[in-house]
Amino acid sequence: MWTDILYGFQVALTPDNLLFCFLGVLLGTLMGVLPGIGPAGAMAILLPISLQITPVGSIIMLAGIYYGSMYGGSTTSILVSIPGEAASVMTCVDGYQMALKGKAGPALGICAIGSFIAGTFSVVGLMLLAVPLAAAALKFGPPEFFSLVLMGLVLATYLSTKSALKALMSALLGMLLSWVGIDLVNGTNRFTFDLLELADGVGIVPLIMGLFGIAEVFSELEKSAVKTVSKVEITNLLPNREEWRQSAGAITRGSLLGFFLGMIPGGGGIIASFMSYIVEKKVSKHPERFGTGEIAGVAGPESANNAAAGSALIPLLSLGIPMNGTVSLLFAALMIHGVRPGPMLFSEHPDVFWGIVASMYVGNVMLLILNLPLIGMWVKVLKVPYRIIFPLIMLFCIIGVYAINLKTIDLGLMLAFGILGYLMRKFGFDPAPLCLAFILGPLLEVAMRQALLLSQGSFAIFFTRPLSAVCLGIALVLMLSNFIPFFSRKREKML
Amino acid sequence: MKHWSVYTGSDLWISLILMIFSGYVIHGALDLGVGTPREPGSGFMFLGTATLLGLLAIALFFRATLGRRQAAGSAERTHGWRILVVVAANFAYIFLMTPVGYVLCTFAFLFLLFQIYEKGSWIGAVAWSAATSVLSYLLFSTLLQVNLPQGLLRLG
Repeated sequence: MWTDILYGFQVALTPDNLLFCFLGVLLGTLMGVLPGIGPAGAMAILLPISLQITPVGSIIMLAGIYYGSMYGGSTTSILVSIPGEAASVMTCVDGYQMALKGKAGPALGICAIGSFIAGTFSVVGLMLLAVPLAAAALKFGPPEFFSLVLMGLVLATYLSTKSALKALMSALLGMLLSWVGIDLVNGTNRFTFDLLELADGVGIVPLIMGLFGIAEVFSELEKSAVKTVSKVEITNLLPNREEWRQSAGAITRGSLLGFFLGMIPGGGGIIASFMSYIVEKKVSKHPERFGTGEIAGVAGPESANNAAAGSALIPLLSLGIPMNGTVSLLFAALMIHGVRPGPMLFSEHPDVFWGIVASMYVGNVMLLILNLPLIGMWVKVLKVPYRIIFPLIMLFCIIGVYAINLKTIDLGLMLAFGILGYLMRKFGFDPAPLCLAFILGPLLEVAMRQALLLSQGSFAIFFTRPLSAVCLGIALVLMLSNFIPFFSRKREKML
Repeated sequence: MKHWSVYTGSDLWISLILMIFSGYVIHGALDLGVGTPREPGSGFMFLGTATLLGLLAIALFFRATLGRRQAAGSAERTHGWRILVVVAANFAYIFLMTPVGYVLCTFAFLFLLFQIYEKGSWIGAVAWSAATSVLSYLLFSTLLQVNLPQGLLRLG
């Protein structure tokens, strides 16, 4: 393994890849700082630009945006009480209160340090777990793969929004969209409306940029005003001895919790930070202080969301299954570059896997440097008015989509998905399951056809193989539990 | 009556739309051919998925009818008109970009967008729009070799 990790550093430390890593974490922090643009939106906007560079450089940059935005999201949470991205919601509660008490510096400092520790911890976990998991996955046949993907999809939708029913519907819509185009088995056009442009299917880039980039802009445009940065003094970023003592346990617990929750389908940073806040409140000797500026309420959730960001890459890289909407964008980027994530990644593209792992070590150090001494710069970025930012986002989306095929129909599709994404958010449908299902849909169809071919048309193959049966059983129980009011209410309360 | 969950009034209409949509997909799937389990046809996955979507839409319909209706949202003023203007501007941009050209179209598009969110100075908006459209053209067309339409202006 040491040879592999050394090889990874050789890949990550080339001048080009160092630059892409720096650009990724810089843009990620910037997008995390700007309210209204989440990591998914940021990755969607920059996805087409990443197509102009090498696969390794592109993935290093996109991964940098992904975990960089987790760092940046805390800045707005603390200074303006607006989460830069959803996983930083819990940081608002105590972080903003600390800022009002003149402790914005230590709050920002502990966020950066906790994020660094948690981020590094999750990279070590990624390095240790991904390879054995991939080796186990090589033994999976089509029925196991089908059931595993289906279970992942159901779990992800189950944990995505308050209404599991709506999340499932969103996922089903994504699947239907993913199968539009020529059926590769018998050459039939499926729901293409005789449009030649749809023969290859609906493009992933217009869909992602519409659902996340354009739709986010529409949602922000509808709102009245954006809060301004509170006049807080940012001095002495390093926490004092007492604050360190209070934060150490929270960072450790947050890192562990985030790491495990990040690997669960649908888990990711949002649930990790919520759970960490609850845990910190439970273990605290003074739970009544939470909500009034308790540093453990900042350190725990921030560590948890960063650990989850790293560990979410384990199932993506080793099994080829993205576990949440944001990670599915990385999956899409890899696929566009002709790199198929999954068990074969380690033998077919070792530069991609070990390059990402090594770049994450480097990126975490870069983020620490970017977030501590340069905090003043990010505060200034926060003051750029939204009326300047949103037209630039729209322009980036337009050029990005147009640059791929030079076809205006892609722009029309992006706009249509932008409207769909906006309406989905407005009416309580989470677009992330749609995106996830859109990416997993073709894999599901192929695995199902192969499994049925193996069994000569018998669906029993999915229930007679132990792993497949367990996965399908879990998926079925989760789906049915939504129709039982007791479980449905428990779930809604949890989310 | 037992209240199942909290649902909004719009869920009723959404469930009806989704029922019609799933009916349409089922019809299309049957036309494509479902095949047999041993040899699934092109419409096989569409049929199963659309049927499930239709069933969930029916469940949403009943929940919206029987469930506890959520109270009306906050009275905060929203600006839906901005979205309509941006969508219309986007449509115009898509249709005009090829004949008129990237730089001119982008200038007009950005100028409109800079003014929509809140009123700023006209001179500032003109300067920002002109600088952004020209610089982005140079960046993408020259540096990244993206073939952006020149239209009425012949650049380089």
